[in-house]
Amino acid sequence: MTTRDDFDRHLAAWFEASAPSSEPEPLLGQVLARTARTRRRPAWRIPERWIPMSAITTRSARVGQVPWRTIGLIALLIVTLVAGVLVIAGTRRPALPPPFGVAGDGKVLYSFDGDIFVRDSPTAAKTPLIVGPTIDETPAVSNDGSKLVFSRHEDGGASSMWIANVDGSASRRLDIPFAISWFEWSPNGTDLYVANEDGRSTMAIVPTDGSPSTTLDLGMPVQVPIHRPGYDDQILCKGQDSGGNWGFYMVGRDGLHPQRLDLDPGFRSDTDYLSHRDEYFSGPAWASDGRRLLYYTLEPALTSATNPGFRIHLAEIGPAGEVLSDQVLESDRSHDNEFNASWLPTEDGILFQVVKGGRHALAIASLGETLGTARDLGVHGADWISSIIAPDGQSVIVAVPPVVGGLQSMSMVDLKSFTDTPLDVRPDVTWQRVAR
Amino acid sequence: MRRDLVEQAMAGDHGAFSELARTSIGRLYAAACLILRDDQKAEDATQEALVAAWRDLSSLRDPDRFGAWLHRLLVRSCYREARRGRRRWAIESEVRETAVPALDPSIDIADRDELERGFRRLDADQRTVLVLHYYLGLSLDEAADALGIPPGTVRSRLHRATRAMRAALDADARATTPNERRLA
Repeated sequence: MTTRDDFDRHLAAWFEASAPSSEPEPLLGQVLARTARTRRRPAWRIPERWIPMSAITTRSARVGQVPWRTIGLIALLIVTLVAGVLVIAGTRRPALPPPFGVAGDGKVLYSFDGDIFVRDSPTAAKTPLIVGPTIDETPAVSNDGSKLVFSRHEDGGASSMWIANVDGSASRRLDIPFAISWFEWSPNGTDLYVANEDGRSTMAIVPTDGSPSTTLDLGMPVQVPIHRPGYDDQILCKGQDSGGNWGFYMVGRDGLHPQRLDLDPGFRSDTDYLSHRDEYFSGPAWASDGRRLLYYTLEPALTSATNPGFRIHLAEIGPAGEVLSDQVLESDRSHDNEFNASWLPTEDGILFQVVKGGRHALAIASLGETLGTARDLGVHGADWISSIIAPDGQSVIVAVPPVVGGLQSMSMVDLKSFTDTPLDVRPDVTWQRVAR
Repeated sequence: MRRDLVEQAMAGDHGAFSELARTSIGRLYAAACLILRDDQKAEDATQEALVAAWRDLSSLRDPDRFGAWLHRLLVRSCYREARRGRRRWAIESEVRETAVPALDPSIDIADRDELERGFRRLDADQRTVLVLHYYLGLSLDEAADALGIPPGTVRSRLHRATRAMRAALDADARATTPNERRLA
């Protein structure tokens, strides 16, 4: 047998000996024949919000030896701050905003160079909120504005999700059973819904009070689990059945019996469906009534049968997950794509992205029985434009990608005048909702 | 990988992509065979990874990361193939032989058998991390990129995999007399 001393060498040699020396003769030809007839996917067609694992995991070299004295001082400072906060909290308890609808604009949080900063408003001076030797990123404030979650990469390679009060106090690690690609707050801030990073069939409900998380195995790849407003026991997620077809599913908190929403009937008959099926059913966004659901999916293009494009849908979903209606919201037939719609806080209109001639733009439109005329916000880019609507619905923070390299340019656009104010924040910005 | 070829392929040059595929397909296929232990599934996984690479190449930000990105696509397609037939991942399953390899004379037959048995007993995650590290020669950081998990998790997974294989080999050694081993 092999000894422990030469185990590694034997293992590497065995792999070399066991592996086939070349691929089967026709394989390369088959690959090239398929790629020659496969349409390229534009870079911006990244359908959801992903936590960049590479950004989290490749920065450990910058983290030096643990400065215990500094950590001790910081810990002492945190204890002092927590004590101060408790005294203040004991005398004044701020009202919390509703989890949906119009709220007041609170603080703006974002990460920069491994620390999290806060501003009282998008244009106010920045103040460090969570700093230290760890790499802290992707902050997200709960709907009620009271808590904050963020990812942390520590020296030695471990990555984890942490929760803190929105003022940075009382931070602690969350118990999450796997590396994640997605998280979403429950409306009342009691749970996080997370999806497994490796695309396997699991999601988890992570209580924010420190109790153990619950892993749900739906028996299929799962993405973007989100809460259904008004239905505490229902979670909507994107799943892929055994035939490779994506769709939206409703599932209870036990993860049993996922029920597919019968949306976009006949989508499997679309031209070139098999070549593009990974791009169907994305961007779910519930209205606060838990009945109206926005999403986008590929539709056969009106201008070219071989060039499908994204179109936004508005569906009405019944209490048991039945699809009561499902209509395409098309603002402009000449657009190559219309997608990634968000409800305005007043829920009488939507903010969405369009692509025309390779150029991305943001637009808003009223939404009643039908979609009103789209109004271009004047924000244009060559790639996906990220956006976050202010809690009061009066403005939107946008991140426009650079044409070549560099940082995304950030600005705030007034949704009435469409005036543009440059901002010195970073794209992973989160905006706190506060009571009005 | 030649950066100029990657850049040309990113710009839509199918000829450049063909050259990248030609130079990488053998190693990708071999790694898939080792992970999946099934030559047909390895063919499918390799083909899916390269088609995905062509389809999504414009999303690659850094041409120098093409190799790492390709490994990640391969790992994902291997997992996908494995899910399509979980039976084949089971220890007890009948494993189809891959193409006949050129055997290394420095490893005797008994060692090869023990390594094969030990490797088959590992789960998919452990087999994959061993192949990435010991066959493709990826560092822990590179393997983390390929697997989409933190380097610390790769380190612990690798540690558990090598420990499990050593335990399996030790168990085999205890159950086998020297004479029996020579006859293996």
